[in-house]
Amino acid sequence: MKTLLNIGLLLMLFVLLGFPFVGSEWMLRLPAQIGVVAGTRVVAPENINVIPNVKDFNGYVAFSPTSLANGKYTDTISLTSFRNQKATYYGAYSLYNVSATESFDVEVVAPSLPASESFTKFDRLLITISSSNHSTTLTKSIEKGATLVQVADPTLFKEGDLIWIENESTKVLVVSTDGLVVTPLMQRHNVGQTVYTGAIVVEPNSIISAQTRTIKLTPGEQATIDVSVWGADQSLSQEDTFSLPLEIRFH
Amino acid sequence: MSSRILLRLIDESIIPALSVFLAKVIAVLYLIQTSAVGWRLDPQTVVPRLIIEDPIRLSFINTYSNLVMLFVALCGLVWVLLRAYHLHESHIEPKIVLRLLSLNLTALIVSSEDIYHQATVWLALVWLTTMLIGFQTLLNMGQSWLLFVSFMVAIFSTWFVVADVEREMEPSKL
Repeated sequence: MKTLLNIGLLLMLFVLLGFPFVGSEWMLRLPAQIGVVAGTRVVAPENINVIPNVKDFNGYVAFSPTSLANGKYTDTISLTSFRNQKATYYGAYSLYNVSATESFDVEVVAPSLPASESFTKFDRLLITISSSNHSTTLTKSIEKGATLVQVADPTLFKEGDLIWIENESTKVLVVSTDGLVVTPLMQRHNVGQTVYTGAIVVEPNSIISAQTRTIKLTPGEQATIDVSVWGADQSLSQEDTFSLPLEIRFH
Repeated sequence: MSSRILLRLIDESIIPALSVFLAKVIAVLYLIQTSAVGWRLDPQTVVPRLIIEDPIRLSFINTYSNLVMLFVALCGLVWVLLRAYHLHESHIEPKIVLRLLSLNLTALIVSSEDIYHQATVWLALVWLTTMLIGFQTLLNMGQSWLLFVSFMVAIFSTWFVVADVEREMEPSKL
């Protein structure tokens, strides 16, 4: 009897000491699901991590995330352009598929261009998404007038893609094991330069392409979103800041 | 006959447990209010539960409300340890006794029994807070730096409690 009573008292003590923690764990929750995309897939928030890079850019990039709901993460990214220079913000966002079993398709969308004077102070803005295992850099320098672009991973490209090599855009005519056959290039490009494909392209006061290509994130896989800004050479100030709404869509 | 130690521990744990839980509730409400985060009450539960729409803000709220919890638990433990080190009847300095007598504050002098029951309760709360933080960090509902901080706090707190127990058990070394 005495033992039973003491076991009861011990349980009471555990309950007393444990209730603040059980209560604390209980009191806050994410929604059970964040939404259905295109009526087919449910993307639960615990399966996706979106990490804005708030520490690497010394205040030249800022974020204002609003939600991860209905299968999309919405944010307004503030970027700095530098007069007559190209600024590349590698890994502006990192995306992680933390699900053990499910794969997701991901793309980035620039839904609109806010009216802002600063949108005239850069020549071009490119936003790309890539998964961790792929590289789109030039493996060999290209001479002016050449038509073959040799890249690290040609499988990322397909016929008809519009690609950007630094400041020059061209169309992919054929994808072969040797590389990409394109229309003759007007400039020389050095080995190691990035070839952008499936990018959001924004030029002064206009969105040329509003959506990146869609990539698949397999369980445990990571992707990054990179942003490049070519500052205008006629800008009066040394640097300008502008904000762009972005959506990262999962389905 | 029931265990006197257990009855005493239960008695000593009511206020600390309530304080820690209230600290969490107040911190959560304050952070929700100040960070303008979207929230709603979960309609499927009888006990009130808040649904936070944004995982980043949820992590932020959890992290800083857990920090407040840890702070409250630590304050309780520090208060007990201060009394253990300076107002413990087994090794209190005579000049402090005289000072307390002159201020009519002799009630602050504590016995070993009081100290060890209270220290056990507050130390348990510090470790349970660390476990909660660890659990939420594993679920990506909190930031990992706090787990490191709380673990270090728990280790050092334990060391101070053990040091006082050792001092009590070996009075000849004083």
